[in-house]
Amino acid sequence: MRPEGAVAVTGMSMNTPLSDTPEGTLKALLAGRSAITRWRSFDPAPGYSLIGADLGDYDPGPRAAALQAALPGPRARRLADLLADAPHTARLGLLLAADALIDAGLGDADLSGLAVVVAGHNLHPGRELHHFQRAAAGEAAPLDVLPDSSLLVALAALTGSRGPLYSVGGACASGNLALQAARRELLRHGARHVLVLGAVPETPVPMLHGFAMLGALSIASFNDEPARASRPWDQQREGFVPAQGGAAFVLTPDAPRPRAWLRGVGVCSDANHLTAPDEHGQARAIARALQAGGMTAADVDYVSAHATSTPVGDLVELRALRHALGPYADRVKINATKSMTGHTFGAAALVEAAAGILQMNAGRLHGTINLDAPDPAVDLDVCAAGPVDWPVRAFLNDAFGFGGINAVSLFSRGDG
Amino acid sequence: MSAVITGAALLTPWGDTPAAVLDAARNRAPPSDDLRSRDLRLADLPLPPDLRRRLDRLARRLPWSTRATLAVAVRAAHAAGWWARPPALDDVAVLVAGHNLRPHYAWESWQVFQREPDYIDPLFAVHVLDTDHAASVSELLGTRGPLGTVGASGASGHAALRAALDELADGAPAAVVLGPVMDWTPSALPARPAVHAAVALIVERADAADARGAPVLGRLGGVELGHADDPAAWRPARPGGALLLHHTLPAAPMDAALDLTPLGDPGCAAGLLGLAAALAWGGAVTQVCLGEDGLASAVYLQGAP
Repeated sequence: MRPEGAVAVTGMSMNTPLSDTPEGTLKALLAGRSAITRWRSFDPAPGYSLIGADLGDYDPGPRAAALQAALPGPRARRLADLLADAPHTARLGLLLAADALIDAGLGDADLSGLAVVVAGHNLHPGRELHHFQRAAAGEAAPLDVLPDSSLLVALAALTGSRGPLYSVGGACASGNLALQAARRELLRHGARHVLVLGAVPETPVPMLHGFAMLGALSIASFNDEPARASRPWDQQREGFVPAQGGAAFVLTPDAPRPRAWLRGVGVCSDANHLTAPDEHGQARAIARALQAGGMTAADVDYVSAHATSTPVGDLVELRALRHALGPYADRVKINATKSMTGHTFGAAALVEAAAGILQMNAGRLHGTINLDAPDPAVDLDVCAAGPVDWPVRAFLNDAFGFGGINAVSLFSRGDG
Repeated sequence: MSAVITGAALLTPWGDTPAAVLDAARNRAPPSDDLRSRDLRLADLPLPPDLRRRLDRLARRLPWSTRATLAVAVRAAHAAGWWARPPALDDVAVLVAGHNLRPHYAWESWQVFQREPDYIDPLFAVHVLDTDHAASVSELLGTRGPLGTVGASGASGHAALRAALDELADGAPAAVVLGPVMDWTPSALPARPAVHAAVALIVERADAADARGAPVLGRLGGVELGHADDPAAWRPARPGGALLLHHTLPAAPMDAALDLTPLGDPGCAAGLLGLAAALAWGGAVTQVCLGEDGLASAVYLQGAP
């Protein structure tokens, strides 16, 4: 039976360097595999960011063929046409969307009543950079000045949606903002289905260099051991590791046995446009998520942490959890998917929501890797010892963005 | 839940009031200047001292387009009477219309990066995010509610307004809805004449506005978003009153009381600029944005007679 205020997760897809399927991703996470390598698909010079999770050399052909075989003829042809014209990351977005729709059993459905919400903004800085380079060379360089909307329009062409299509951006918290928007489309605006896409981010060198100049990236100690670079809560953590990866969801108002229920999302801000995480703001977002979902701290068994491997942010989040969960903070397990996937920017909350749902349904949580010497201030169970069997009724999915944006989503079991 | 507009502020090349925009559209007046020469210090406004300090501090380090957003946000909050009787700031939302708002700043930064990578703006990674508009306004006004951007091409303004109504329905007393300047680069102009325009609207729950005695400029009857393969065939579901149309189609596809298209293309601010014109029109208005990309939207407004 549908819990009050919940919406059903009926379809899901993922693509990271770990795997291009949810099940493959879960297997890799439970095995403790890292997606982080030296950047392979582009030359990172003259920037300082030399390592990341790279999908630039991912061959979409085999997955595209498999998905096209599962779609009815006209939609399969539309997908093929769209893939032929799209830039690489938009191709990956289209594949994620098709994959999630098929997973939801909607591959051949009439989707005119579908709403589409894309997480993030400025999704194509690489295309913008390419435009700048051509313009500087004196070449005619037409740019559709809103490349994000070109992705929306491609998704509309794929699905035949006549419903609302838009992107929502909240920096690294964008994915949870997109889930909140999707819930509202279903519960308030009458959508029959919502497709939520956490698009694979482009990572052009100037953007990575900007994060490096801000002191936010791991650029110093692990360039020769990339798999060790993302190490939330470890004493040697030195910043986040940028990553390409994405996920997509299909949500509906109700379903007999969904993958999970999205119970609620809590969002607030810190009145600070810089990068200064605030435990009270984060705790407020957690409390709002619980309130929106009609649950309490006692109902939560697991937290998928934002935990980006930054010296300040990782500990602030643990303090926020203690504030928000009170004595129950000592009873939950917490892990950091980014220790293996790296930080996928606007898609992160969706990648980690998908990972959380997979772990919840498997009854087994992955470990936080690279936690060789936990920070002495870590006083909660962050799964340092590796994967563990752990029954999960409900979990919180944290996401906190530059500019003091705090967004937390709450999921519970589809069979609960 | 009933929602009202209690403050509006604009920065446009035709003038900085809804009436000036309406007159420009009626008279097909060309833009009189670019906005980059405008003084954004707001010296004419009697601001609370702490807010003045925050504004001055932020102005020193923010890109021009974000400073323009701050200017209209402060003017709108001032018009809504926030200094004397503020809403509950812990729950006030800030929502920005748009995506890809930074082409000029990104272009300038890229040129610096080409010459000397380490001399780019040290806050480039923060300022290049569209959310920096919303976060900066949140810092300036002291709001701590939900915050984000909503992008739907030319329908972005209406989409942000719809998100604001959702926030009000979920408990926020008010929302600051912002349409920033696009900050075009010479090499990335749209096909239609581009203009810089920034808009800020204060949208409040009617009961919250009433409780603090706020001025009411208009009542929002709702927002509609859609998509059509043939945008010329798209129609709002419940039109009523005067139709004010803003489109990017080669020909005006429907009879409108006023076509705002000659104003040019302000990008993601289009919907909010049109709504500002609707406030000056008065009475019942359906304000529609139609994009060649098929993204379409409508706002239903009951303005002051």
